[in-house]
Amino acid sequence: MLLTTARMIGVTLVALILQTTLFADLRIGGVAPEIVLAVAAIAGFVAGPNRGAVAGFWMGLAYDLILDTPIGLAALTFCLVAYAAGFAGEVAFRPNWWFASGACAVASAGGVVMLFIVSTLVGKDLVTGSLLRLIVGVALFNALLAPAIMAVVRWSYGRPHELRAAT
Amino acid sequence: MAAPAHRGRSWYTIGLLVLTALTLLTLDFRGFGPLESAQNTARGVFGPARSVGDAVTTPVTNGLDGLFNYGELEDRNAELEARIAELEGEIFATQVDADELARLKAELGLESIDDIPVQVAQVVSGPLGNFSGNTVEIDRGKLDGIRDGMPVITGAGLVGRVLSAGRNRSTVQLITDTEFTVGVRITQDGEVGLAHGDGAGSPDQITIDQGISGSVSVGDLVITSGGRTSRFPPGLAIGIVSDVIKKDRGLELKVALNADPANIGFVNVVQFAPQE
Repeated sequence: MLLTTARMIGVTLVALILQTTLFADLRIGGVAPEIVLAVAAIAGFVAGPNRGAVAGFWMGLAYDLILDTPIGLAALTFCLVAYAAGFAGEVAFRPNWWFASGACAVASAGGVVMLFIVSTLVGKDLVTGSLLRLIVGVALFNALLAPAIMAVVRWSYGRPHELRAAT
Repeated sequence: MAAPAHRGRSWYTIGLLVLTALTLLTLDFRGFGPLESAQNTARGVFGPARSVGDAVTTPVTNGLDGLFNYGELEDRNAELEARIAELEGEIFATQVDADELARLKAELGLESIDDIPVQVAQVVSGPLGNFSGNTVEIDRGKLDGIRDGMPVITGAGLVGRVLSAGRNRSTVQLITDTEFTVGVRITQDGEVGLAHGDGAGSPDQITIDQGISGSVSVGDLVITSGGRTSRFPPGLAIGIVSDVIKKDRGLELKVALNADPANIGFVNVVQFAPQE
Protein backbone atom coordinates (compact mmCIF):
# COMPACT_ATOMS: atom_id res chain seq x y z
CA MET A 1 0.00 0.00 0.00
CA LEU A 2 2.78 2.40 1.02
CA LEU A 3 4.84 1.42 -2.00
CA THR A 4 1.86 1.95 -4.32
CA THR A 5 1.20 5.38 -2.81
CA ALA A 6 4.87 6.36 -3.18
CA ARG A 7 4.90 5.16 -6.78
CA MET A 8 1.69 7.06 -7.62
CA ILE A 9 3.10 10.25 -6.05
CA GLY A 10 6.16 9.82 -8.26
CA VAL A 11 4.03 9.20 -11.35
CA THR A 12 1.91 12.28 -10.58
CA LEU A 13 5.03 14.42 -10.11
CA VAL A 14 6.49 13.27 -13.43
CA ALA A 15 3.13 13.83 -15.16
CA LEU A 16 2.95 17.36 -13.74
CA ILE A 17 6.51 18.13 -14.85
CA LEU A 18 5.71 16.87 -18.36
CA GLN A 19 2.42 18.82 -18.41
CA THR A 20 4.11 22.09 -17.43
CA THR A 21 7.22 21.73 -19.62
CA LEU A 22 7.14 19.50 -22.70
CA PHE A 23 3.38 19.32 -23.19
CA ALA A 24 2.75 23.01 -22.39
CA ASP A 25 4.70 23.85 -25.55
CA LEU A 26 3.81 20.80 -27.62
CA ARG A 27 0.54 22.08 -29.03
CA ILE A 28 -1.14 21.16 -32.26
CA GLY A 29 -3.92 23.51 -33.29
CA GLY A 30 -3.48 25.26 -29.93
CA VAL A 31 -4.34 22.07 -28.01
CA ALA A 32 -1.93 20.43 -25.55
CA PRO A 33 -2.19 16.91 -24.13
CA GLU A 34 -3.71 16.58 -20.66
CA ILE A 35 -1.44 13.89 -19.30
CA VAL A 36 -2.53 14.22 -15.65
CA LEU A 37 -6.14 13.66 -16.70
CA ALA A 38 -5.03 10.61 -18.68
CA VAL A 39 -3.15 9.20 -15.67
CA ALA A 40 -6.22 9.74 -13.44
CA ALA A 41 -8.52 7.97 -15.92
CA ILE A 42 -6.17 5.02 -16.31
CA ALA A 43 -5.73 4.80 -12.52
CA GLY A 44 -9.50 4.31 -12.43
CA PHE A 45 -9.38 1.55 -15.07
CA VAL A 46 -6.54 -0.26 -13.33
CA ALA A 47 -7.41 0.19 -9.65
CA GLY A 48 -11.21 0.37 -9.75
CA PRO A 49 -13.62 3.19 -8.87
CA ASN A 50 -12.74 3.55 -5.21
CA ARG A 51 -8.97 3.80 -5.36
CA GLY A 52 -9.11 5.46 -8.76
CA ALA A 53 -11.30 8.27 -7.43
CA VAL A 54 -8.93 8.86 -4.50
CA ALA A 55 -5.93 8.96 -6.87
CA GLY A 56 -7.83 11.21 -9.29
CA PHE A 57 -8.74 13.61 -6.49
CA TRP A 58 -5.14 14.05 -5.32
CA MET A 59 -3.83 14.33 -8.89
CA GLY A 60 -6.46 16.94 -9.66
CA LEU A 61 -5.65 18.85 -6.49
CA ALA A 62 -1.95 18.87 -7.42
CA TYR A 63 -2.94 20.08 -10.92
CA ASP A 64 -5.00 22.90 -9.39
CA LEU A 65 -2.15 23.95 -7.12
CA ILE A 66 0.53 23.98 -9.81
CA LEU A 67 -1.44 25.17 -12.81
CA ASP A 68 -3.86 28.06 -12.74
CA THR A 69 -7.21 26.34 -12.46
CA PRO A 70 -9.51 27.25 -9.53
CA ILE A 71 -8.58 25.05 -6.56
CA GLY A 72 -10.97 22.09 -6.45
CA LEU A 73 -11.92 22.22 -10.15
CA ALA A 74 -9.54 19.56 -11.46
CA ALA A 75 -9.78 17.67 -8.14
CA LEU A 76 -13.54 17.33 -8.64
CA THR A 77 -13.31 16.52 -12.34
CA PHE A 78 -10.42 14.06 -12.21
CA CYS A 79 -11.91 12.11 -9.30
CA LEU A 80 -15.25 11.79 -11.12
CA VAL A 81 -13.52 10.75 -14.35
CA ALA A 82 -11.42 8.15 -12.51
CA TYR A 83 -14.51 6.91 -10.67
CA ALA A 84 -16.49 6.48 -13.90
CA ALA A 85 -13.46 4.89 -15.57
CA GLY A 86 -13.24 2.50 -12.62
CA PHE A 87 -16.79 1.26 -13.21
CA ALA A 88 -16.18 0.95 -16.95
CA GLY A 89 -12.99 -0.96 -16.19
CA GLU A 90 -14.83 -3.39 -13.90
CA VAL A 91 -17.16 -4.27 -16.76
CA ALA A 92 -14.78 -4.28 -19.70
CA PHE A 93 -11.16 -4.05 -18.54
CA ARG A 94 -8.74 -5.48 -21.11
CA PRO A 95 -5.05 -5.11 -20.35
CA ASN A 96 -4.03 -4.27 -23.91
CA TRP A 97 -3.03 -1.11 -25.76
CA TRP A 98 -6.15 -0.63 -27.85
CA PHE A 99 -8.41 -0.78 -24.82
CA ALA A 100 -6.14 1.69 -23.02
CA SER A 101 -6.18 4.09 -25.98
CA GLY A 102 -9.90 3.91 -26.72
CA ALA A 103 -11.02 4.10 -23.11
CA CYS A 104 -8.56 6.89 -22.32
CA ALA A 105 -9.81 8.91 -25.32
CA VAL A 106 -13.43 8.63 -24.14
CA ALA A 107 -12.54 9.41 -20.51
CA SER A 108 -10.39 12.39 -21.55
CA ALA A 109 -13.17 13.80 -23.74
CA GLY A 110 -15.58 13.39 -20.83
CA GLY A 111 -13.08 15.08 -18.51
CA VAL A 112 -12.69 18.09 -20.79
CA VAL A 113 -16.46 18.50 -21.08
CA MET A 114 -16.81 18.22 -17.31
CA LEU A 115 -14.02 20.76 -16.71
CA PHE A 116 -15.72 23.14 -19.11
CA ILE A 117 -19.13 22.73 -17.48
CA VAL A 118 -17.88 23.10 -13.90
CA SER A 119 -15.64 26.07 -14.75
CA THR A 120 -18.55 27.77 -16.52
CA LEU A 121 -20.80 27.12 -13.50
CA VAL A 122 -18.29 28.85 -11.20
CA GLY A 123 -18.03 31.76 -13.62
CA LYS A 124 -14.57 31.06 -15.07
CA ASP A 125 -14.00 31.23 -18.81
CA LEU A 126 -10.98 28.97 -19.10
CA VAL A 127 -11.26 27.62 -22.63
CA THR A 128 -9.45 29.42 -25.43
CA GLY A 129 -10.84 28.76 -28.91
CA SER A 130 -13.17 25.99 -29.97
CA LEU A 131 -14.42 23.56 -27.30
CA LEU A 132 -14.94 20.83 -29.91
CA ARG A 133 -11.35 21.15 -31.11
CA LEU A 134 -10.17 20.94 -27.50
CA ILE A 135 -12.23 17.82 -26.80
CA VAL A 136 -11.05 16.04 -29.96
CA GLY A 137 -7.45 17.23 -29.58
CA VAL A 138 -7.11 16.15 -25.94
CA ALA A 139 -8.84 12.81 -26.66
CA LEU A 140 -6.43 12.04 -29.54
CA PHE A 141 -3.30 13.17 -27.70
CA ASN A 142 -4.23 11.18 -24.60
CA ALA A 143 -5.13 8.12 -26.67
CA LEU A 144 -1.60 8.18 -28.10
CA LEU A 145 -0.06 8.46 -24.63
CA ALA A 146 -2.38 5.88 -23.05
CA PRO A 147 -0.44 2.63 -23.68
CA ALA A 148 2.69 4.03 -22.02
CA ILE A 149 0.66 5.47 -19.15
CA MET A 150 -1.19 2.17 -18.72
CA ALA A 151 2.13 0.35 -18.33
CA VAL A 152 3.39 2.84 -15.74
CA VAL A 153 0.13 2.89 -13.76
CA ARG A 154 -0.09 -0.92 -13.73
CA TRP A 155 3.48 -1.01 -12.45
CA SER A 156 2.50 1.50 -9.73
CA TYR A 157 -0.47 -0.53 -8.55
CA GLY A 158 1.03 -3.95 -8.95
CA ARG A 159 -0.96 -6.70 -10.67
CA PRO A 160 -4.47 -5.33 -11.34
CA HIS A 161 -6.48 -8.51 -10.81
CA GLU A 162 -4.97 -9.08 -7.38
CA LEU A 163 -5.70 -5.46 -6.58
CA ARG A 164 -9.34 -5.83 -7.60
CA ALA A 165 -9.69 -8.84 -5.35
CA ALA A 166 -8.26 -6.83 -2.47
CA THR A 167 -10.70 -3.95 -2.94
CA MET B 1 -20.71 -8.34 -9.80
CA ALA B 2 -19.48 -6.20 -6.91
CA ALA B 3 -20.60 -6.94 -3.39
CA PRO B 4 -23.12 -4.45 -1.91
CA ALA B 5 -20.72 -3.52 0.92
CA HIS B 6 -18.02 -2.66 -1.62
CA ARG B 7 -20.47 -0.59 -3.66
CA GLY B 8 -21.62 1.19 -0.49
CA ARG B 9 -18.08 2.10 0.50
CA SER B 10 -17.46 3.28 -3.06
CA TRP B 11 -20.39 5.72 -2.91
CA TYR B 12 -19.23 6.93 0.48
CA THR B 13 -15.72 7.61 -0.85
CA ILE B 14 -16.82 9.46 -3.98
CA GLY B 15 -19.38 11.46 -1.98
CA LEU B 16 -16.70 12.57 0.47
CA LEU B 17 -14.27 13.49 -2.31
CA VAL B 18 -16.88 15.47 -4.25
CA LEU B 19 -17.91 17.35 -1.11
CA THR B 20 -14.27 18.16 -0.33
CA ALA B 21 -13.65 19.39 -3.88
CA LEU B 22 -16.80 21.53 -3.85
CA THR B 23 -15.78 23.02 -0.49
CA LEU B 24 -12.34 23.88 -1.90
CA LEU B 25 -13.93 25.44 -4.99
CA THR B 26 -16.24 27.54 -2.82
CA LEU B 27 -13.40 28.68 -0.58
CA ASP B 28 -11.24 29.53 -3.61
CA PHE B 29 -14.13 31.43 -5.19
CA ARG B 30 -14.46 33.49 -1.99
CA GLY B 31 -10.73 34.28 -2.02
CA PHE B 32 -9.81 32.21 1.07
CA GLY B 33 -6.24 33.34 1.87
CA PRO B 34 -4.70 30.04 3.06
CA LEU B 35 -5.54 28.40 -0.28
CA GLU B 36 -3.59 31.09 -2.11
CA SER B 37 -0.68 30.55 0.28
CA ALA B 38 -0.88 26.81 -0.35
CA GLN B 39 -0.80 27.43 -4.10
CA ASN B 40 2.25 29.71 -3.79
CA THR B 41 4.02 27.17 -1.55
CA ALA B 42 3.24 24.30 -3.94
CA ARG B 43 4.56 26.30 -6.90
CA GLY B 44 7.69 27.22 -4.91
CA VAL B 45 8.35 23.58 -4.01
CA PHE B 46 7.56 22.37 -7.53
CA GLY B 47 9.67 25.11 -9.19
CA PRO B 48 13.09 23.39 -9.02
CA ALA B 49 11.66 20.10 -10.33
CA ARG B 50 10.11 22.03 -13.21
CA SER B 51 13.35 23.82 -13.98
CA VAL B 52 15.08 20.44 -14.33
CA GLY B 53 12.20 19.24 -16.52
CA ASP B 54 12.51 22.40 -18.61
CA ALA B 55 16.22 21.87 -19.16
CA VAL B 56 15.65 18.28 -20.25
CA THR B 57 12.64 18.87 -22.49
CA THR B 58 13.52 22.21 -24.14
CA PRO B 59 15.68 20.65 -26.91
CA VAL B 60 12.87 18.17 -27.64
CA THR B 61 10.27 20.94 -27.70
CA ASN B 62 12.38 23.12 -29.97
CA GLY B 63 12.94 20.21 -32.37
CA LEU B 64 9.25 19.32 -32.51
CA ASP B 65 8.29 22.98 -32.84
CA GLY B 66 10.59 23.34 -35.83
CA LEU B 67 9.18 20.17 -37.34
CA PHE B 68 5.49 21.03 -36.97
CA ASN B 69 5.48 24.83 -37.14
CA TYR B 70 8.27 25.70 -39.59
CA GLY B 71 5.93 27.00 -42.32
CA GLU B 72 3.92 29.01 -39.85
CA LEU B 73 7.11 30.54 -38.42
CA GLU B 74 8.30 31.54 -41.89
CA ASP B 75 4.99 33.28 -42.63
CA ARG B 76 5.05 35.01 -39.29
CA ASN B 77 8.64 36.14 -39.83
CA ALA B 78 7.75 37.68 -43.19
CA GLU B 79 4.72 39.38 -41.65
CA LEU B 80 6.84 40.79 -38.82
CA GLU B 81 9.52 42.09 -41.19
CA ALA B 82 6.86 43.99 -43.14
CA ARG B 83 5.44 45.35 -39.90
CA ILE B 84 8.91 46.47 -38.71
CA ALA B 85 9.43 48.43 -41.94
CA GLU B 86 6.07 50.12 -41.45
CA LEU B 87 6.77 50.96 -37.81
CA GLU B 88 10.23 52.35 -38.55
CA GLY B 89 8.51 54.94 -40.71
CA GLU B 90 6.26 55.93 -37.82
CA ILE B 91 9.01 56.17 -35.20
CA PHE B 92 10.29 59.55 -36.31
CA ALA B 93 6.90 61.26 -36.10
CA THR B 94 6.13 59.59 -32.76
CA GLN B 95 9.49 60.65 -31.31
CA VAL B 96 8.80 64.28 -32.17
CA ASP B 97 5.42 64.05 -30.38
CA ALA B 98 6.97 62.25 -27.40
CA ASP B 99 9.66 64.90 -27.00
CA GLU B 100 7.04 67.63 -27.10
CA LEU B 101 4.87 65.79 -24.53
CA ALA B 102 7.84 65.24 -22.20
CA ARG B 103 8.71 68.95 -22.42
CA LEU B 104 5.12 69.96 -21.57
CA LYS B 105 4.91 67.46 -18.67
CA ALA B 106 8.18 68.75 -17.27
CA GLU B 107 6.91 72.33 -17.48
CA LEU B 108 3.66 71.37 -15.70
CA GLY B 109 5.42 69.13 -13.15
CA LEU B 110 3.38 66.05 -14.14
CA GLU B 111 4.59 62.50 -13.42
CA SER B 112 5.54 60.52 -16.49
CA ILE B 113 5.44 56.77 -16.97
CA ASP B 114 9.00 57.10 -18.25
CA ASP B 115 10.10 58.06 -14.73
CA ILE B 116 9.02 54.73 -13.24
CA PRO B 117 11.67 51.98 -13.37
CA VAL B 118 10.84 48.81 -15.27
CA GLN B 119 12.22 45.30 -15.14
CA VAL B 120 12.51 43.50 -18.46
CA ALA B 121 11.36 39.90 -18.26
CA GLN B 122 11.01 37.01 -20.68
CA VAL B 123 7.85 34.98 -20.89
CA VAL B 124 9.15 31.50 -20.14
CA SER B 125 5.87 29.73 -20.32
CA GLY B 126 2.51 30.47 -21.81
CA PRO B 127 -0.60 28.82 -20.47
CA LEU B 128 0.55 25.55 -18.86
CA GLY B 129 -2.46 23.52 -19.86
CA ASN B 130 -5.63 23.91 -21.86
CA PHE B 131 -7.46 25.43 -18.89
CA SER B 132 -5.14 28.20 -17.78
CA GLY B 133 -5.34 30.54 -20.75
CA ASN B 134 -5.29 33.76 -18.75
CA THR B 135 -1.86 33.56 -17.16
CA VAL B 136 1.74 33.38 -18.33
CA GLU B 137 4.94 32.92 -16.41
CA ILE B 138 7.93 35.29 -16.53
CA ASP B 139 11.55 34.69 -15.55
CA ARG B 140 11.80 37.44 -12.93
CA GLY B 141 10.69 37.31 -9.31
CA LYS B 142 11.02 38.91 -5.91
CA LEU B 143 14.82 38.84 -6.13
CA ASP B 144 14.51 41.23 -9.10
CA GLY B 145 12.19 43.60 -7.28
CA ILE B 146 8.97 42.16 -8.69
CA ARG B 147 5.99 42.37 -6.36
CA ASP B 148 2.37 41.22 -6.53
CA GLY B 149 0.14 43.61 -8.44
CA MET B 150 2.78 45.36 -10.54
CA PRO B 151 1.58 46.30 -14.05
CA VAL B 152 3.04 44.34 -16.96
CA ILE B 153 3.36 46.05 -20.33
CA THR B 154 4.86 45.62 -23.76
CA GLY B 155 5.81 48.38 -26.18
CA ALA B 156 2.21 48.28 -27.40
CA GLY B 157 0.56 48.71 -24.01
CA LEU B 158 -0.82 47.02 -20.91
CA VAL B 159 -0.94 43.20 -21.04
CA GLY B 160 -1.54 42.29 -17.41
CA ARG B 161 -0.35 42.47 -13.83
CA VAL B 162 1.78 40.30 -11.57
CA LEU B 163 -0.56 37.83 -9.92
CA SER B 164 1.99 36.15 -7.69
CA ALA B 165 5.68 36.90 -7.48
CA GLY B 166 7.84 33.91 -6.63
CA ARG B 167 11.54 33.98 -5.79
CA ASN B 168 12.83 33.77 -9.36
CA ARG B 169 9.66 33.53 -11.42
CA SER B 170 6.28 35.23 -11.38
CA THR B 171 2.84 34.49 -12.68
CA VAL B 172 1.22 37.24 -14.72
CA GLN B 173 -2.56 37.57 -14.92
CA LEU B 174 -3.38 38.68 -18.45
CA ILE B 175 -5.64 41.65 -19.10
CA THR B 176 -8.12 39.26 -20.76
CA ASP B 177 -8.89 37.42 -17.49
CA THR B 178 -12.49 37.99 -16.43
CA GLU B 179 -11.26 38.87 -12.92
CA PHE B 180 -8.83 41.50 -14.22
CA THR B 181 -10.15 45.02 -13.64
CA VAL B 182 -8.53 48.32 -14.51
CA GLY B 183 -9.61 51.96 -14.30
CA VAL B 184 -9.58 53.49 -17.77
CA ARG B 185 -9.92 56.87 -19.41
CA ILE B 186 -11.18 57.69 -22.89
CA THR B 187 -8.59 60.15 -24.16
CA GLN B 188 -10.94 62.07 -26.50
CA ASP B 189 -13.48 63.23 -23.89
CA GLY B 190 -11.72 62.33 -20.63
CA GLU B 191 -14.50 60.00 -19.41
CA VAL B 192 -13.38 57.53 -16.77
CA GLY B 193 -14.71 53.98 -16.39
CA LEU B 194 -13.90 50.49 -15.20
CA ALA B 195 -12.86 47.73 -17.62
CA HIS B 196 -12.55 43.99 -17.21
CA GLY B 197 -11.27 41.12 -19.33
CA ASP B 198 -13.64 39.10 -21.50
CA GLY B 199 -12.02 35.74 -20.80
CA ALA B 200 -9.81 33.37 -22.72
CA GLY B 201 -12.46 33.05 -25.42
CA SER B 202 -11.91 36.71 -26.39
CA PRO B 203 -8.13 37.08 -26.29
CA ASP B 204 -7.96 40.43 -28.06
CA GLN B 205 -10.57 42.58 -26.34
CA ILE B 206 -11.82 43.85 -22.99
CA THR B 207 -15.10 45.48 -21.95
CA ILE B 208 -15.79 48.78 -20.20
CA ASP B 209 -19.20 48.45 -18.57
CA GLN B 210 -19.08 50.89 -15.68
CA GLY B 211 -18.86 54.63 -15.56
CA ILE B 212 -19.25 55.61 -19.20
CA SER B 213 -22.31 57.62 -20.20
CA GLY B 214 -21.13 60.38 -22.51
CA SER B 215 -20.46 60.55 -26.19
CA VAL B 216 -17.88 57.92 -27.06
CA SER B 217 -17.18 56.83 -30.61
CA VAL B 218 -15.64 53.82 -32.24
CA GLY B 219 -11.94 54.59 -32.70
CA ASP B 220 -11.50 56.57 -29.46
CA LEU B 221 -8.29 55.74 -27.60
CA VAL B 222 -8.35 54.08 -24.16
CA ILE B 223 -5.59 54.42 -21.55
CA THR B 224 -5.27 53.69 -17.83
CA SER B 225 -6.83 56.38 -15.68
CA GLY B 226 -4.44 56.09 -12.74
CA GLY B 227 -5.48 57.80 -9.56
CA ARG B 228 -4.32 57.97 -5.97
CA THR B 229 -5.07 54.36 -5.04
CA SER B 230 -5.02 52.79 -8.52
CA ARG B 231 -2.82 49.75 -9.07
CA PHE B 232 -1.83 51.21 -12.45
CA PRO B 233 -0.09 54.49 -13.26
CA PRO B 234 -1.99 56.85 -15.54
CA GLY B 235 -1.37 56.88 -19.28
CA LEU B 236 -0.60 53.23 -20.08
CA ALA B 237 -1.97 52.44 -23.54
CA ILE B 238 -4.76 49.86 -23.57
CA GLY B 239 -6.54 49.96 -26.91
CA ILE B 240 -9.15 51.44 -29.19
CA VAL B 241 -12.93 51.46 -28.78
CA SER B 242 -14.23 48.92 -31.30
CA ASP B 243 -17.92 48.83 -30.41
CA VAL B 244 -20.35 51.02 -28.47
CA ILE B 245 -23.42 49.28 -27.05
CA LYS B 246 -26.25 51.24 -25.41
CA LYS B 247 -27.43 49.77 -22.10
CA ASP B 248 -30.03 50.87 -19.54
CA ARG B 249 -27.38 52.20 -17.16
CA GLY B 250 -25.12 53.85 -19.72
CA LEU B 251 -22.78 52.59 -22.38
CA GLU B 252 -20.89 49.34 -22.72
CA LEU B 253 -17.72 49.65 -24.75
CA LYS B 254 -15.73 46.89 -26.40
CA VAL B 255 -12.06 47.77 -26.58
CA ALA B 256 -9.70 46.14 -29.10
CA LEU B 257 -6.41 45.70 -27.26
CA ASN B 258 -3.35 47.43 -28.63
CA ALA B 259 -1.00 44.75 -27.29
CA ASP B 260 -1.55 41.09 -28.13
CA PRO B 261 -1.49 39.15 -24.84
CA ALA B 262 -1.62 35.84 -26.71
CA ASN B 263 1.73 36.48 -28.40
CA ILE B 264 4.20 38.04 -26.01
CA GLY B 265 7.87 37.12 -25.73
CA PHE B 266 9.36 39.88 -23.60
CA VAL B 267 7.54 42.22 -21.23
CA ASN B 268 8.33 45.14 -18.95
CA VAL B 269 7.21 44.92 -15.35
CA VAL B 270 6.51 48.47 -14.22
CA GLN B 271 7.81 48.81 -10.67
CA PHE B 272 4.90 50.93 -9.65
CA ALA B 273 3.38 50.89 -6.19
CA PRO B 274 0.04 52.59 -5.56
CA GLN B 275 -0.02 55.29 -2.91
CA GLU B 276 -1.36 54.03 0.42
